[in-house]
Amino acid sequence: MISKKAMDAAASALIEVCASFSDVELELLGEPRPFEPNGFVMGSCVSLTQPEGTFSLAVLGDERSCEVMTRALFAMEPDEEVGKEEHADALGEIANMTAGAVKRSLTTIDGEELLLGLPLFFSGSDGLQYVRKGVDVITQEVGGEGLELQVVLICQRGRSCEVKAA
Amino acid sequence: MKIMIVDDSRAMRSIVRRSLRKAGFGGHDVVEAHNGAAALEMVGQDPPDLILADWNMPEMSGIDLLRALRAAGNAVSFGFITTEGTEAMRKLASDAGARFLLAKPFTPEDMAKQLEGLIK
Repeated sequence: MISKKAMDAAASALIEVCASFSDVELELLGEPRPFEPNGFVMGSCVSLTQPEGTFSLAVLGDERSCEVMTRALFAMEPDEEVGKEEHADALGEIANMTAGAVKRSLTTIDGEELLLGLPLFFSGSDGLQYVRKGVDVITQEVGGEGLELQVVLICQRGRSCEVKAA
Repeated sequence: MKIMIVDDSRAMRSIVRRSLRKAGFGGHDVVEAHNGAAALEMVGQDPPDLILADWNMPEMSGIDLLRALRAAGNAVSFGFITTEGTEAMRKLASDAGARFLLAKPFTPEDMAKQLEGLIK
C-alpha cells in the first residue's frame, strides 16, 4: 500500500526541485491515481529502501516536458540539440534530487532513515504499465506553464511502505 | 579565485556553475572534473582555491577525494553538494575536513550562505 504521506512528500519534492533549478513553477494537478501512460514517454527511477518494504520513485514526462526540463537544467541554447544522453542525465538528476528530498522529509515507521538507490533512466512507459501482480503504481501529476510531469511511486501491495515525517 | 566543480553529472555541474553566478560569485575562474580521480589529477597540476564536490561518483567518490587531499597535506577549502544530507554524512564530511555539506535541491541563497567567508 502506498502511503499518502510518501505521495505528498514526493509531489512536493518534485515541485521544489523543478522550481530550484529551472525557474519552472509547477503545481499539483488533481489527486493521486493509478498510473496510466497518457503520452508520458521517458523518465528516471530511484528506489527508497526500508526494512518493511522497498518502494520506488519515478519522475516521468511527455516529450515536450522532458525537453523543456532537460534544456533548463543544462541551460542549453535554442539551437542546441537534446539527445538521449542529456535526457538521461537531467531526468536522472531530477529523480535523484526528488528522492533525496523525500528521504530527508520522511523516515521509516521505526524512525530509521530511508536508503536511496541509484537513478535509472527509462524511455517508454511499459515498465510502469506491465508490472507484476500485486505491485501498485500510483501517480501524481504536476504541471504548469504548459508542462506536465508525473511523480510515480511503485510498491508491492500488502507490504507496508508506511513512513512518517522525519 | 579558482573554483573546481566535481560531479559525474554534466547537468549538475551546469547547475552548480549557474548557482555560483546567481549567488554572486560569477567573477571567479571555474573548472570542472567528472569524478574524484580526475579532480585529484587536476588539483596536482593546477590547484584550485575551493572544491565543490558531489559525494557519490564512479572511480573515486567525493569523500575519498577529500581524504586523499588531506592525506597529502592539501588543506584546500572543500564543500559537498550532494543529494543525501543525513546527520551521519554531515559528520563524516566534517570529520574528513569539509567546510560544509549543501543538500540538493538548494537555492542560490543557500549556496551564498555556505560560501560566505570562503570566497572573497
